[in-house]
Amino acid sequence: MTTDDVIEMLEKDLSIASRVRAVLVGLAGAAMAILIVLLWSTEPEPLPTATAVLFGAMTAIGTAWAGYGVWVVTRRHPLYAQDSIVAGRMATTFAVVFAIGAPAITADQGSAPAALAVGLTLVAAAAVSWAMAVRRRRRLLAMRAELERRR
Amino acid sequence: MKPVQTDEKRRSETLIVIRCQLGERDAFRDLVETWQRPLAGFVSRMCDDPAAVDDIVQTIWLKVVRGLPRLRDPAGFPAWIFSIARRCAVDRYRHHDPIEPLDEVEDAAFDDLDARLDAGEIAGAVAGLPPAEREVVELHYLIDLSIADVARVVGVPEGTVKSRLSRARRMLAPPLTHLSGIEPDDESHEE
Repeated sequence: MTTDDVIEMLEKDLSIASRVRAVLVGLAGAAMAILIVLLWSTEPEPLPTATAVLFGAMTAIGTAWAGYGVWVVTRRHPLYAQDSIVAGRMATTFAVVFAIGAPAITADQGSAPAALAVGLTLVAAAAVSWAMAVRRRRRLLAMRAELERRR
Repeated sequence: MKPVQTDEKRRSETLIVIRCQLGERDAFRDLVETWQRPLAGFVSRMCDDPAAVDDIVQTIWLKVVRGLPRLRDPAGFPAWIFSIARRCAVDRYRHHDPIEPLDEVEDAAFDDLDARLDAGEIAGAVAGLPPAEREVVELHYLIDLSIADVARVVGVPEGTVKSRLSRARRMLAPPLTHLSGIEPDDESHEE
């Protein structure tokens, strides 16, 4: 087995596109599930059974996609330092969009404050993960600089 | 004289690992070029079935690529990758033969041996050793891991590694005596 064989075999695992896709799928799934739960939980009257079943199914689907995204980026295609920063930026952007959009969408049900609270929580979580990614990359760059200085 | 791995080589290897952890895709080619041969050699000597070696090596590289972002100490990469390699090979065959550790031996004896033996000279002589001894000799002399790293890879105390090296040395005494130029009298003084 040559170096080229190994690299070819690892190509899919090293693909940045597969990581970006996983992050996007996870974020979209999480946003969908949270939005539906927000709408559902703030309905003034109990929903018809068929609607409740539909909401439940959509929440489950969104949660499953979010879980799949997390699994891919932690186990299947774990994020390297630069990938983590890209993912952190994407998550923060998604969370900001959610924090702005969700209150507007749910305003009619009077659940804008709850949506805003959830949105801000997501923004905070995404920002923390972004900051951690930046710190991790900075640590590695410092180690690289130190090794290169001693060469 | 045993070729001691230079600090420069270690730094270069660690740099490649750091570049991979940063996410530089080009660095993975350097990583594979650096470690594929010793890895394949190590696995092929652990396995009875040559046809399975490629499968095991593929599995190792997948585990490396998937686990590398979580490796805390880039300088510990050699011990880490050979730990994975050993685990993969053992999982595949499940016929690892554990042995009773011998008494620890004097560090000085190993320092002296390190100074006299050449990795290339040992390479041809270790094939006949039992698996446990062959493994530590290969990791220490051929792949150039420290005693501490070999202990981490094999999952035994450092004293056990030294004992296995000592036992291997006794088994290899005639060829190594010949290769290293150690007179029989010298050897007896080390024990």
